[in-house]
Amino acid sequence: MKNLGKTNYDEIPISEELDRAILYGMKRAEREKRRAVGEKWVGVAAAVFCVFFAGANIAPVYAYAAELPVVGAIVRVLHIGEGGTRTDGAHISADTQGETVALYFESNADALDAVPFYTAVHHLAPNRLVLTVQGVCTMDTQAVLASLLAADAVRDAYPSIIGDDSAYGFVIVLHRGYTYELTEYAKPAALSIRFYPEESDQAEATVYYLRTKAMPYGEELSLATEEFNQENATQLKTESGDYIVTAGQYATEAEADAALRELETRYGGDTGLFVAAGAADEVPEK
Amino acid sequence: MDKHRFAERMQAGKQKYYRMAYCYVKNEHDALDIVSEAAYKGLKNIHTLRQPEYFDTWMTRIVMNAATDFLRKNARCTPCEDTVLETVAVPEQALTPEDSLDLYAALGSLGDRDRSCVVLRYFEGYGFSEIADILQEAEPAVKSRLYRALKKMRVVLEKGDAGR
Repeated sequence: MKNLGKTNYDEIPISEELDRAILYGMKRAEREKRRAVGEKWVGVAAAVFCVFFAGANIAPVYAYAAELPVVGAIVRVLHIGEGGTRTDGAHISADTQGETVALYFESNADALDAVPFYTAVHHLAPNRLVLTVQGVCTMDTQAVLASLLAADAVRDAYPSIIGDDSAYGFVIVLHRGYTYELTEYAKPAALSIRFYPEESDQAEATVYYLRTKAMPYGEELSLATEEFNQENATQLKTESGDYIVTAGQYATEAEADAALRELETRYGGDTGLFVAAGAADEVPEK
Repeated sequence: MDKHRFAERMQAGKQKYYRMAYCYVKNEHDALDIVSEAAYKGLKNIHTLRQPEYFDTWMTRIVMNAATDFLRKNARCTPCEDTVLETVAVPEQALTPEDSLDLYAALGSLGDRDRSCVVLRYFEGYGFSEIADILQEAEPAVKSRLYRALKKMRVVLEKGDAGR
């Protein structure tokens, strides 16, 4: 809404000291965590303030962010969901820095302004992120997988096989006790996946899901995934190296049974799926 | 969320946080104090933010709380009383201020939470449900606050005694 008050609000001049004030607050929090000693910035004279920063040679607040491998403007941060814009002809490359993997998107060797449309879905048994990007024509698959596998948090990473030639997907399996955060950037387009340890009350839980029999990586896998697409189907590599399609995720066996019966009713008979169970971090044997 | 990501998100939202703080104190130095205090509290308590997609809502709440704490602790500022909160059904059209109404000039006539509602709704463009999340109040209560805040601000502006 545009009104006089809003105009006056938008015209509030931004202080040139703002970065340093934020940095001061952050440094104070870090010091306090280390020493459990508090201090106040309120009332510190400006001259002292400047001397403090000049003497300590502390970088501005964006120095923290500069350690990340991407520099664009943040569009959104998410754990699950979707983002990006409809594009076509993008090329994906990747880079890794510590526990952050950045996916870059370009077209005709120029960085795109916006990330192509993508979806992020999280599953358990095992703990994994399924990331699918659409509107992509080429991808440096080996480089992307190598970047993902370079992160300590990543237990395994492999591509999904997708019937749509313009879509690329990955399954990123995490080690126990890790989670992730996705950040979408614009100008230039990038998608960062940051992995970090986090205690989860789901770690010990048993998870129930529907699955197919094991099959090799190929057309049958792609078709089975499409068949159960509406059931939140994913592709999962077993310990033995074959693949299965999973559908749904349930807290109890009874819920999984009910879902299977409902599917069988809808499909008019046997679906080829059966109920399976596993610990939150467990990869099925076969 | 680690300190690097926290810094990145603060960098992205810093101008908004500063303007919000400024609305409470109407001077640069105190607004910087508030933002600095909010950055301190935010990073110190970052482990309580379970879902990073709610960072903005979470940080906005911290900035607003830092601002109201600042006002309470400084004797030179006597915060106005908040409108007595009696939730009433408010039609949407009653929450639309006319273009000529300088809400910014009349902010000082409001109590802390009423002021927060006005800043979030009319200056930052938050929806009622988002404001309810930030202020941890029910949505009808937020609408009641806005309705009564607008009425009060109109009276103040008509009398010509707006200000801090």
